[in-house]
Amino acid sequence: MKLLHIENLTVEFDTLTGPVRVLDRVSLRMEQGEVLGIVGESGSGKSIFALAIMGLLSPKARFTADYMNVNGQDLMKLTKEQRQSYLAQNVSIIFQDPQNSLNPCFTIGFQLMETLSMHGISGRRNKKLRAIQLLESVGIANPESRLKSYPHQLSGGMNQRIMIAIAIAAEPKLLIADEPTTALDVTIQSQILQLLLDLNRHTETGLMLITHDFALLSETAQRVCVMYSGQIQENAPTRRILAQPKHPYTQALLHSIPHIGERHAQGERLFSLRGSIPPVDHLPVGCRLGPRCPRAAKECVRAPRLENIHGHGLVRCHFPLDGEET
Amino acid sequence: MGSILRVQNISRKYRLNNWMFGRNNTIDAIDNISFELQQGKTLAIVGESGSGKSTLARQLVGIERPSSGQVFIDERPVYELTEAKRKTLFLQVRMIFQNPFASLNPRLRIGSILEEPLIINTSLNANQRRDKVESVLQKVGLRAEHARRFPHMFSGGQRQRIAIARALILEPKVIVADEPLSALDVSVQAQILNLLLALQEEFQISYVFISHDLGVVEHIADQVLVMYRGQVMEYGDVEQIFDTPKHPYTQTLFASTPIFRDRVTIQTVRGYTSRSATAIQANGCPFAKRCPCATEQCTTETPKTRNISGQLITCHSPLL
Repeated sequence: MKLLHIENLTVEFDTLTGPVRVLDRVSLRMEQGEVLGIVGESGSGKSIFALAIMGLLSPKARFTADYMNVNGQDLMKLTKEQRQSYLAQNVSIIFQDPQNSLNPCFTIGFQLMETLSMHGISGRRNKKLRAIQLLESVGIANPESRLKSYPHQLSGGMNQRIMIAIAIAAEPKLLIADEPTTALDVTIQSQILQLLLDLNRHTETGLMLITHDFALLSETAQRVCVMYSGQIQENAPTRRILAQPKHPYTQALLHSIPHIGERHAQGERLFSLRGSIPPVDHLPVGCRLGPRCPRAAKECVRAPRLENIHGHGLVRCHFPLDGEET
Repeated sequence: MGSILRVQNISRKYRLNNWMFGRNNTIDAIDNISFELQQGKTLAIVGESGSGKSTLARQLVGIERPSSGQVFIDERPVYELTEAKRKTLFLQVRMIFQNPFASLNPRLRIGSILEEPLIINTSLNANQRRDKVESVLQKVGLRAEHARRFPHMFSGGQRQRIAIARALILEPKVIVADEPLSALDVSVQAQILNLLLALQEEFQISYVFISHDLGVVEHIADQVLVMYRGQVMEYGDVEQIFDTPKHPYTQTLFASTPIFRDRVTIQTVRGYTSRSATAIQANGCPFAKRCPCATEQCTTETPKTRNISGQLITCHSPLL
């Protein structure tokens, strides 16, 4: 049984100038206990994708999918209320900025126990015991005294740990982490990632890691899904993508960031794409990377389909890169 | 050759008002920092948030005056000169800010934004100013007609180009760039980085480049200064710092930065940078509480800065 199986998820917003499609027929599968990375720049639709799975999109969004199966249950067949309670039991999400996702007016103990009572744990004593257990499992020292703290008394890394504690309170099958470490320092980032990976290993929780940092995924994810302008451009095992990206955009993402250990010689320049990401209401005809792509040809005004390349994965390009050039 | 920008033992203290007891405490935002920057070279300042990188930048461009210590521009001690002379010297040092969405006035056209430093600091007439604006726009890869547009008509990368043009228009010798890439998208970062390198080669500008991205730092820097809690932990050439980091904090930074590698266990260091001023100890190394190789000496005695084969290290037990 797949943990997550989505076919043709499309999200549109109505604007004054007509409907704007921010996610275009996204299909994705995730196995039980898998770590999947989703990488893309701002505006690529990666956060909308996470919100769509969670049913957290604004009511103005039009949202269609052929099939949206979470842990064996098709969400499209449920009513809104049923879907909400089903998701609450099975999927959790943590966001980028922990300081803003926690309520500053309540103690973290209150916020944790509020979640626990929604998941059927009753009695003050039981809730408190479970809350302490959860804080311990995310590596917080002195959990009992921490329950009385307010979010502003704790650091960003601590708050993110508390967000994770709240997220795993329901023992979800799938944990979506939307840029979980972007607001944190590198040394804290590594602590939080380690925590998420430990959870994944020990509890068989599927982890969807959404980020713009490819290097971070190379260390954590088994499979990477590259998004650009609301479409999946490449979806393949991390090892293969790093060794030989097939999509020019993936290659650009990998080569435009200077990595530690690659020193530049005098006069050497980084590889970079021309221009910037097209706004969603003015997408180019055909391939969405077209105007920026160094390999674009006449063919590229026809929109390419996401096709399977044998021994690699799914790639949306008329002229996928082969091993020779880098 | 003399250095273009030299900083000698500068410190900056901020007063903290304790609302309850009315006591005034001070906090050392930066403490006893010295470095030297040659023409056409780049010094990168690295550290976590709260380490005093931006405070240091403010002292370098003259936005704030250091509590003690001296800044030398072109080997002239800035704070021993008259106000007028100091102002003209600081024209040699310009700044680029982190977020181009916040640093450009949304109500001014690009032409006016770029013209402003010329009106204030030079005696050029309107025609000369316009020519200058057009030429600087071309230098940063924009077109002359962009001068009539407003900031909202540009993307993040283009805005950062405008911010660079504004820094460049007075033909400075040093540009202080405070995290110039972190508000930009990954595919645009490379463009801006390439632009900065091209400008450096063409005009022999020196950069003070503040960043937390070690990959970028290794790419652009000649020298690296690692800061923690307002103090210099390690200072040396980029090859030295990246090949043989000797301070435990520098090694921690490297170990926790994700790089391209196959699923290895991420290395972590315990603890976090506490923001409260009281946590700062009067004695001892600021990193002692988190340091994997801290000894008792580290918590009681402030380490002295030592020179180990050209690399300056503030640590009792550097890793050799």
